[in-house]
Amino acid sequence: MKGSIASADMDLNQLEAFLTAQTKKQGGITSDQAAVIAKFWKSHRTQIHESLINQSRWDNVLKNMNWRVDLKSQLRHIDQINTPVAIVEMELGKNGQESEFLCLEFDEAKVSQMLKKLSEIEESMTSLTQTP
Amino acid sequence: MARGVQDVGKETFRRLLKVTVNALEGKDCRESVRLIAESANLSEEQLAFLISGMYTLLREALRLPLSTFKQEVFKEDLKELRIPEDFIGDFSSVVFGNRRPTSEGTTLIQRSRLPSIQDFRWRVDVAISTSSLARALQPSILMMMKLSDGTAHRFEVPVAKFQELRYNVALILKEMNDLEKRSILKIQD
Repeated sequence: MKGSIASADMDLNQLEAFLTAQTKKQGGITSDQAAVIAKFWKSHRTQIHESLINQSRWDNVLKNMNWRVDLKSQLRHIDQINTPVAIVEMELGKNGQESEFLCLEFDEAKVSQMLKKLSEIEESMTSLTQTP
Repeated sequence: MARGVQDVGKETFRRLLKVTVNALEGKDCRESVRLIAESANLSEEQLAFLISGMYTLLREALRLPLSTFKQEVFKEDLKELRIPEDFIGDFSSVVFGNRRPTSEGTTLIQRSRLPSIQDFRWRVDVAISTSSLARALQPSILMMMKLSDGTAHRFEVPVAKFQELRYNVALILKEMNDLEKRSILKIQD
């Protein structure tokens, strides 16, 4: 029964209706048991949901991101230009496996390009999730 | 290398030096090395010693900025290494003369850089149903990055992490802009 609650990812109304139906069934649960299940689901719902979603993720997942901005001073040039450079470290991992760390370098133009692309993604997502 | 170079004739030495300079500029020298190996009377081991020795010597010498590194000091050092007088002149002209490898091509610069993103593609997927969730309806972002070192990385980004990523990138851009605006102490040599 708990399997069907999790699989359907029931919200509180659905859960109440479901549990009440269960108590009325023959050989079903008592109202005390229903109360305990309801309490458990309320507090653990998000965790369980996340865990179930992870079970269907087989690719590497972005786990963490660290960065710093350095100032690159170019020697051996007549004008000593100080250009900032960003160093980004991304942690990519799969369930139960050791993470891979990706170290990348960005100049200002590349950071700007990246931000533009991320905004495009954001726009695309909001148009998807907006209820018409 | 010093011991080996004493046995080498001037002609061979000059060819080896040319190959080393080409290598420092990042050019492919396998063909030239093969030709030298065939024509000169050198074993593979001797050739390896000589080339790696010359390469290391020149690479270290080229690292030092010209304003503090003097030709006489360099020549003295080479004498101490017991390199023949003739060859010292040739080494010196590479480091100080107009045969100095151009810095754009030098592998010195290429090696001190981390890879950067060359191509970045993305896709927003919505998982409708999975084996563990009957009703998932979870959007997720798939990213594919091709880096300058030739590797490609594909990974998934959950929505919450995506927002974090976007926030961090915006913050990086802001930091970079702030850095440029401030008057910074220039590193003088």
